[in-house]
Parts: sequence; C-alpha cells; structure tokens
Amino acid sequence: MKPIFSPPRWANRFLEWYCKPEMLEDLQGAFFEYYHERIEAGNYKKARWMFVLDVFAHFRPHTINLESQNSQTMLLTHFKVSIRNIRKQRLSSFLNTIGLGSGLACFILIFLWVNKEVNYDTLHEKGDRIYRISNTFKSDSETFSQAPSGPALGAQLDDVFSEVEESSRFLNISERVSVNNRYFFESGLALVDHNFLQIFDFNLIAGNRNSALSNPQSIILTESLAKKYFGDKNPIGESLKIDQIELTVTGLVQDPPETSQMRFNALIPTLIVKQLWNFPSVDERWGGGSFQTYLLVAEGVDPTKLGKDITAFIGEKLAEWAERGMFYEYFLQPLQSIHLESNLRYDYQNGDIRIVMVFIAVAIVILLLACINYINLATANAINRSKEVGIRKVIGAERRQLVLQYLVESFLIVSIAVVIALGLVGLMLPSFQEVTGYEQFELLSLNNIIYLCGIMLVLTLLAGSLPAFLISKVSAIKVIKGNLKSGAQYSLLRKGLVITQFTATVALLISVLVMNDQMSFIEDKDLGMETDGVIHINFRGYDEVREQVNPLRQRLLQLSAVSGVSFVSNSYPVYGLSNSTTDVETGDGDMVTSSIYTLQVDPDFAETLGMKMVAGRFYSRDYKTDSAEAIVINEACIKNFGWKDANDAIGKKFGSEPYLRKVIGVVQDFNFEGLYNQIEPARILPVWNNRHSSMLVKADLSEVRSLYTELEAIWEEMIPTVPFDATFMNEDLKQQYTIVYNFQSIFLVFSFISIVIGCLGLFGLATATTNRRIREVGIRKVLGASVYEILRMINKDFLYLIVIAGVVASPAAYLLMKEWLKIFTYHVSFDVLFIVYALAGALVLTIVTVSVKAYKTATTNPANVLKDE
Amino acid sequence: MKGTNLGEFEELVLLIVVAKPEEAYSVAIAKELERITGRKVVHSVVHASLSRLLKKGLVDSKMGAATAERGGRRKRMYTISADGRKALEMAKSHRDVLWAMINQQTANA
Repeated sequence: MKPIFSPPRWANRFLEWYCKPEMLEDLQGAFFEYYHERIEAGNYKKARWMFVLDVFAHFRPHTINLESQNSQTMLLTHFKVSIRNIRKQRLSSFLNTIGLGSGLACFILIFLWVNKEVNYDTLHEKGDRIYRISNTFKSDSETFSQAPSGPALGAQLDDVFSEVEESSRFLNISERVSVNNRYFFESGLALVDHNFLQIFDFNLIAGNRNSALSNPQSIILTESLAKKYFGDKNPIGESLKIDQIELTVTGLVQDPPETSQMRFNALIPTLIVKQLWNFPSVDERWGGGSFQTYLLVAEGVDPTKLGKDITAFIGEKLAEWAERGMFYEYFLQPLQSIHLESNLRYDYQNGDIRIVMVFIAVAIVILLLACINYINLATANAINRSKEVGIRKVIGAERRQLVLQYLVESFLIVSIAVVIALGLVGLMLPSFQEVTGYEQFELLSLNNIIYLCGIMLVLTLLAGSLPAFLISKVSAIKVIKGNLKSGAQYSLLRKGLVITQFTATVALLISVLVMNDQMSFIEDKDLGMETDGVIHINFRGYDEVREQVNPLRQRLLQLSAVSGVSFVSNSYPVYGLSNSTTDVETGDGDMVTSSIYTLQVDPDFAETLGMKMVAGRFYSRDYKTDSAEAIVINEACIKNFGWKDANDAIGKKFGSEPYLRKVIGVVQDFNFEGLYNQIEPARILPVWNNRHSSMLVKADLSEVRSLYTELEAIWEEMIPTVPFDATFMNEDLKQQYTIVYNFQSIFLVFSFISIVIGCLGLFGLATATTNRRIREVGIRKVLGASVYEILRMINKDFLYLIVIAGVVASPAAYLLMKEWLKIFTYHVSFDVLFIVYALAGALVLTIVTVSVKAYKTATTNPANVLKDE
Repeated sequence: MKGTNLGEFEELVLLIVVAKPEEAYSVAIAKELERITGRKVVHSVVHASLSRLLKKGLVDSKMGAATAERGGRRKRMYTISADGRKALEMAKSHRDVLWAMINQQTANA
C-alpha cells in the first residue's frame, strides 16, 4: 500500500507551535511512525484522529516550550490577568458562569436527545438499501396510509422481483410462554423470516446467522429474555413452549439498541403461525395483514418505480378486491427515514421531525440567551475596564492583543461554565432518562468531547468577540483625560439584548401556562366512565380462565374492597376498540350499512365503570332474551343515525335476521380512544359464546394497591397456568399521554432555566445601571427623594423594555400554542388572560430583580457616594 | 539526591534501553513495554518518562537515523549513562536483599 502522509495539518502545526525545539523532530517522527502504521492497518480516518489525539496527549509541561516565544508568554499573561479579573468581579463572573452553565446544560441535554433521534437504525450495514414497503389503502368510503401489508409480500416478493434481494416480515406478538412449567405473558415476540438476520445486522452472540431461523420450530432469544428464562445458563439448545408449540433456542442476540425502530425480545420464524393461529395460507395472503415488510433491494434500484411495479403486480392478484372498489397503492420508505418521517396507521411509536426541530430551536435560543447575558454584563462592566484598556494602550498594547486578552477571559468563563454544565447534566440525567425513555446516554464519548470543544470555541467567539471589539475600541486619550462619557455607552445594544431575552421568556411563560391548562383539562375531563380504582386483568381469553368465570366473580365479590367485577371480550375502552359494519335503522326507518365500534361485555360492565344510562336500561341477568335480542348503544349513535333523541333510540333495529337486535338502552358517551379523537358511534353487545378475554375489578381508590397483591395471590391459587397480568386503568389511560406529558415537562424545565437566565441578565444590567447612577441617586436623596421614588425611577427604565418584549412575544406564543392545541380533539381555547398573567409574571420578576439591586443603592448614605467629588 | 531514585515504570524503561540498545527510541520502547507487561502503554507516558530520565542524567541521547515511515525525521536514540547504570544496580541490590529475606522466611517456615 502506498503510504499517505497527510495527517491533519492544523494538528501538526499546533505541535510545531507548542513543542520544545529540541524535542520536536523526535516527537513528530514518532507520531508519523504511528500514523504510518495505522494507515497500513487500513483505517485512514482513525489514523488521522489518533494523530490529533497523540498531539494533544503530548501537550504536557515537559514538552511545552515556555521560553523564547513572545506570543506564548503573552498568552500566559493574558491567562493570569483574566483570572485576576474574574476573581475581582465576583458577582458578574458568578452570574456569567451560572447563566452560561445552565444554558449549556440544556443545550447538552437536548443535543444528547437529538443525537438519539436522528441516529435511528444506523446499525445496519446495508441500511441504505433496506426499505419498508407500506401502502395506501383506497376504497369508496375511505383512504388511509398504513405501515403493515399482507403476509404474502414478505414471503414472495424476493422470488418475484429480481430487484428485491431479500424480503422479510416483522410482527411483534404477545403469547403465553412456558419454560419448565413457569408461565409468562411475553410481548415483543417478533415473527420474522429466515433471512431476517441477513438483512439486518442485529448482533448475534451465539448461533448461526444464516440457519438459526430456518427451522420453524426455532427461536432466538435476546440476552435479557434468555437471562429471565434461564439465568446464567447457556440457553442454546434449551426448549420452551409458545402456547402449545415446543421451540428450541437456536441463537442468542443482543437486545436491539434503543435507537432501533424494531424492538423485540425474541425472534421466531413466521411459519409458526400456520400452527399457532391455524393460518396455513400465511404465505399466500396478499391483502389485509398486520406484518411490516422489509425489502433489501439490489444496488441502484429506483424505489419509486419498484413501488409502482409492486402495486401493479399485487393489483392483479387482488383483482376481486378491485371489483369492489378497493385497492392498495404500495410505496417504499427508506429504513432510516421511518423513525422521524413516517406517520402511518399501525406504525411504530415513531418520533417526529417537527418536535426534533422545535427542540433544536429551543436549544439554540437558550444558548443565545446565555450569550446575550454575557455580552450584556461585559459591556456593562466596560466602564471599569476602559481605564485598564486606556493604560494598556498608552503602554503600547496593540488592539489585537487587547482583543485576545478579552477572548482569553471569555474562554476561561466558558470553561468554568462547561464544568458547571457537566455537573448539572449529571444531576439531571436520571430524570431526563425517565422522561425521554432513553437509558443509554454516552455523555463523554470521544465524539461528544470533540463537539464540546467546538461549542466552547463557538461560545467564546460568540459571547466574547462583541465585548472584546467594543471595549478595545476605547480611545486612550479620552480615558487618560478622564472625559469618557461612560453613561450611555452601548446602552442601546444592551436594551436590545434585554428585549430579545424577555421576548423569549414571555413567550415561554405563555406556552407553559397554556400547556398546563390543557393537561389539567385532560386530567379532569369527564370520560363518561370511572377509571379510578379499576384494575384490568388481561388473561387473553385462555380457556383455563373462561371455565372459571363464575367462581372467580363470586370469589372476588366476597372481598370487602371489591365493589364490582366485569368480564369483557377484547373490549378494554382504553386502547381503542375494534370497528366493524352492521345494518342500522335510521330515523327515517330505512336500514343502512354503517361502520361502528363494538364492545362485548357482561351485564356488570356499566355499573363497574360507573357509566350512566341516558335512556332505557343496561343488560341484566333477569332478562333471558337480552343475550340474543338486545343491544345497547352510545349517545353518539343518536346524531349519527338521525334519531330524534335518546328515547327515540329505544327499539331501533340493528343487524339483520336471524341476528336482529333492538336497542334497549343508550349509555352516555364515554371516551374509548383517548382525547385525541372524537367519540364515534359504538354498540355494546353481550359477550358472545362465553368468549371472555379480560376482566375489570372495581375497588375504592384508597384500597386498590393492597387489593392488587390480594388479587395476585387468589389468581395464582385458582389459575396457576395463566400469568397474572394486571394494570391500573387510570394509569393505562394516562399512558396514552406520556409523550405529551414528557414534552411538557421538558419544556417546563427549559422555560424555567431560560427565565432564570433572563433574570440573571436583568440583575447584571440593573447592577450596571445603578452603579452608573449612584451619584445621581445620592444627589436626589440629598434633595429629599424617598427610597420608594428612587426605586420607581430605576424600575421605570426596565419596565418599558418588558412591555415591548410582551408585545412581540404574545402573538408569537399565541400562534405557536394554537398549533399545539390542535393535537387534541378536546382542547381548551387559548385564554387571552394567559398573556396578561405572563406579562404580570414578567413584570413582577423584573421589579423584584431590579429592586433587589436598586434598593441597596437607594439606601446608601449619600455622603459616602458624594464625598469623592 | 532525589534524582537517583527510580520509579517502577522508569526502571522498566531504563532496562529496555540497556537490553535493546539498537531499538532504544521512544516508539520502540513503548511497544516493547507493551509486549513484556501485556498492559496498554501510551507513547506520551514513555516519552515523559524518558524526558525525566534525561533530566536526571540517567540516560544520554543523540539523534539517530531517519526513516521513511517517520516522514524523513530522525529519531532520538537513548543510551544509559554511568549514573543510570548505578541507579539500576542499586534498585536491583535493594530487591535482592529483600528477596533474600523473603526466601529465608519461606525456608524457615
């Protein structure tokens, strides 16, 4: 291999600059030797970085040339002077470091999160050729795009199209797993095809990549699941049962990284469903389906064209559907774009590029606010420094050197701020992990450290250069003659900066108020059902439980804490319900076919969930005919089917002979799909043929925790073969809003920090102003002004800045929050009072901040101030 | 004088200088150390150690030959000085005395 002698030039020059001349040749030679070796090893990029690292690793006292070079001596002096200055101006140094530090802490946290979000699915080497095939389903009545497709696509596309090298399905299912007579409900059991690990590079620790999934009776466990089932024992070759099917562990895979759209606990060949679901035609079914399908396409294939070809191909297969006006339009989504850009039905819990953008903006704004603080304080202190600058100039300092001096000073401040920021990040990381759902943040990875150095440099220049240039501009003659007009210096600049800061603060205050309002609205909203104190036990319809429905109910009702028990069939009104079509009698007496949500429940359902009847009655065990002839519907049906009112609904016909039912009751609307969606028409049917799948137990809220353990014990005694899988209904409901809650709490923290930063800046500015006017205050006091009048005078200067900020901020916040509220179907309206509150809040903050400083000035004895003149 | 005291790492470096005089320059010493101790040895540490030895007068150095891998730069070759040899011998004799004591104890036990 031909040696390439080009390590980073700047690093080499840095070395030449700092290194003692007698050591230079040897050291340089050594680095080149290492560099050469690493190049030979084949990693060019790494070699370059290692060279840089080498150069920095040798930046040590014994190699640094301290003598002879003037600029270096100067630099040392700059450091010395800067440290003295920082120590002299304790207050402003403190404000600066705290402000910059907390701003930087926010920035780092957001950076860590964004870094996760934008780096999804980067693990896979062939990632740029992997696509998910999704589709838009079109029929006469609706059009929507969805992620899953028919199972035949994944099974056959790689045989049909030469452009498709491999195709694999992916579907997470939950099943009962038994291992050595221990039972678990396991979710995240991923059905995949035999070539899954040839497409995706998940890290297989044991087993054969190519053959571990070829036998339909095999399973690959993730490390964590293997540990759960088999402890530290080698799991390979062990067996376990999924439902009744015995599988052998043929591989061990590392848990998928947090930044993987596919999350799973185990990989199982899809063919198992032939037996498990009694679905022998799984490879032949083109329509419907709930499988995600991934394609590895050949080099240079145009995904748009391939999508069209597949659409045409499957269109022929589904000719019968087309006759009924339904067809699929397929399109390919690049693997790495899915997490942030895909928003389809039945998709993963994806991120959102817009939210990422919002946070990037927030991070930059916060950092800018902190910089503005620094500029403010530095220019406010310029008056003290101008004497120093004047003297230096007289002695012969060049402007360049003065600028460097200031930059060194801001570099020092920034460095201290970085230390503070890292400390803060360390403190906040645990709660940040909880809120974001990511657990592995590598704060001090090599890349992050390099970025951090970059940010330090940018911050130094951003915050330091303006004051440096302004202050070094001071004319030496003016300073020496003593007629420097210090008062108005840069005050316009500072005012502008304060306005910017407070605009951001007021806008954030308004946003926080609106978000709080909306979230408490959601918490207090009448859902039409009582979810507090309800435990949901999901037994997934296992026969062992179905046989025991009546004994279970009787046993539980004997417990004093239990006030209701209800068994339902796939009808937990939290995660949404299934939707189907039926014939309904309209207000005009016609029968129409309509789609309607369906619940199947027992007669205790309404009482257990505290639902109110608007008209008629709920099911009752006293009426034997209920199970075949009656139906209960919700209020939304009344409007939807054009009936007059709730009483008019009674007796309306549903379905067709021989399954005709008549409405016996109308139940008040209840939210079964969360508050993001409108309440749709729903029908409540009796459980058909004893097909119960889960149960609800109602207790008093205060007793529900202790009841949980009691229930678990009873359950294990009565039904040992079905795992006890229980959740609290109110928590499940809240779970739907975690993303919004998390967004809100992050936003809250960041707003708080930016408000603190704003106040710090204001405080600094107030300090500068009052110092400047201290003699004026003294004279006014001598002439008889009261403390109150002086406070008012100083405050007035700031208050109009806040008013201007409010005028700019309010409409911006209004527009922003209006957009945000649109996420919810049921939302509060934007209350103009919030603007008033936010402004009032900002005013109070300002007055308090400014007055703290101004009060001290106002109470100073005028004699102390005026005796100098 | 403090200068004649040898740290453990310095002693190893010095021993390599004596043991492999034809390869006694920083990069080769670092590699040799890595090979012998099985630990990761960073160049900067070896270099710092050599500088210290030089300052204490335990080694002498002069510029050697240039090679292409080093971008045509010469390497600094180290040789042990009389003081260095003394320091090594002293370190060894301390150890010998102590080992003799240990061996005696084991024999008595």
